[in-house]
Amino acid sequence: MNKKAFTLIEIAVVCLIVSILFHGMFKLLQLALNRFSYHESHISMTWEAGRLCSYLHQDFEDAFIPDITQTGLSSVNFSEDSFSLPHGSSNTVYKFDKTAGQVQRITSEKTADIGKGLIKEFSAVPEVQYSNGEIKPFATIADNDEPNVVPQRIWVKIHLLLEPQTQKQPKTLQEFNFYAFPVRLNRQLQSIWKPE
Amino acid sequence: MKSVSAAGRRKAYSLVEVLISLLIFGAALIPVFHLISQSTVLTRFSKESVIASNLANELANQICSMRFAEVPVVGGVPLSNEADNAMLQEGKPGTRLRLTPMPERFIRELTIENFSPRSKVIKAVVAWGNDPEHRVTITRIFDWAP
Repeated sequence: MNKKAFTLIEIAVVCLIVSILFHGMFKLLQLALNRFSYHESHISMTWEAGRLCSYLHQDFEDAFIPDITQTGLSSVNFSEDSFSLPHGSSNTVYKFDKTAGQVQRITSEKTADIGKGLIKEFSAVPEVQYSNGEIKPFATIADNDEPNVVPQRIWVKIHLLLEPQTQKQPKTLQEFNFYAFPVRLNRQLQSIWKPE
Repeated sequence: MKSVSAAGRRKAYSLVEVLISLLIFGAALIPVFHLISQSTVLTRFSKESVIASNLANELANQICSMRFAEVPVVGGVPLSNEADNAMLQEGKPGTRLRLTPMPERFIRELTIENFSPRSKVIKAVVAWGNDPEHRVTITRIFDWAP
């Protein structure tokens, strides 16, 4: 009986084709998995950025000094890697820890670590607009001795740069820039001084 | 002429069979490609949402930081990147706008309406995408204060 079977060449060709197909499939699934984890790390990074921005907007909006006529803006402090916003009797402090790559939001009740290992740069540059319309750095307030020229509006330029926690390349950095306005504080400033 | 018997006929796949199998294989890969493209869209959308939310908050909060009497009533004014440093009301430096530059395909609009003699409604809209397909709206009631 003439038994049918595959020849060695046929088996070799089939093996080659199957291995090419499997290799292609494996590469494709690997690519999908890589892209998925890449996007996952970017989305979680954006989520942290959104969380920080949301805290900042809210804290700036609510900042106020109960006895502003007595103390002025002395409880509003900005330094290179931290700043503090007055909220009545307590302050909310934002501190950038470059080594840990995070921003700490410290209130009288709790401390929250935001963006752990993700934040590469964080800065808050305050500016002040005086009653004569001039815009100057916030630090000029202490030296301002012009008569009838008082701070009318302050705002802070926030810069945030995040880097994803992934070894996969390319790493896309995300940058967020915006101005934050302390609404209540500005209205307090304006209530002290009224234009003629 | 020599005829080929059924036993001697060599079995092989036809072109149609090969094409169908390739089609099935290709169809099975569609969800994988869809997953990749969807995650790209989602990543971009989440970033753009945060940017839009920041821009809208920035606009609404700075209007509320101005003097009530100096804030004019405006209807759907588009504010491009060039509007940075412009005054909302001519001759009133207290209404000078500070605007962060928007990325491409973003638009920003401001509406201020009288709500009552002592309050205004501030509406800051930031939209983006084609048409545009997405938008963030921040609405604030701006009260007169002594």
